[in-house]
Amino acid sequence: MNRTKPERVLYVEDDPDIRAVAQMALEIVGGLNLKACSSGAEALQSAEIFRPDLLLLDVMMPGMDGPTTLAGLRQMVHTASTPVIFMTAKVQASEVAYYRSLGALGVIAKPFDPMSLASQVCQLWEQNVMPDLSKSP
Amino acid sequence: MNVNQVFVNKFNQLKRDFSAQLPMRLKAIDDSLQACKEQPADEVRRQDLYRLLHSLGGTAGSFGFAQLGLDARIIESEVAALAQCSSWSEQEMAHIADALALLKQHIFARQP
Repeated sequence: MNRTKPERVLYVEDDPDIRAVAQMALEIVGGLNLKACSSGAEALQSAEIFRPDLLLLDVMMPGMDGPTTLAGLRQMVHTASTPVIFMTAKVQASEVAYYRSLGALGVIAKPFDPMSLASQVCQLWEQNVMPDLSKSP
Repeated sequence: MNVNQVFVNKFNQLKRDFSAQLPMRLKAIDDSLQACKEQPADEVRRQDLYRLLHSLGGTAGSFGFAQLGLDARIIESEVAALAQCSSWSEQEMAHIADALALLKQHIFARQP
């Protein structure tokens, strides 16, 4: 197995404008298969059916924030070890270190450049997930 | 029409929608600040204000309104810094109101 990009991305962002831009960028520019959710609760409902191979989570959301959503997804069979990328405006070294301690492949800074968002996602995937996939039988 | 052109066309439409909705967003922030003034110790109202500013900062930046995004982020940071206080003083409220007024002044000065 040697995929250069994820097959199914579960994307969670509460802001409808940012969600719309990111969805267009990831689907149209990146050619990714995306399930966009407006809340952590919706993501938990969608994950079992959608079975993502990558999670893309906004950090600051009302109700369930990104890390809490991730904790919920980790309790589910199909997303217990799914790679995750956080998107946030808080990208100081200590904050990035915290997201990495949660198992994140990386962090995409907001505001993001819509034209390069998909390539940022795929780059993190290639750097962190592809080496593991290529080892699997 | 290539993929990038399809994206640019749709993106530009979203950007126009964002610009058109900007006065409504600013009104919502004004209303939220007013709600905080009425109940300075209400943490939920303060969180609402923070979220509105956070949303404006993130959205503006992603639509290419870099300066507006930065201005909103500065006020958001100030609101966040005040979040640890149990209640906001009139002086702190006035400071946020001034920063918002300046933000609006900048927005309308930049519009053609």
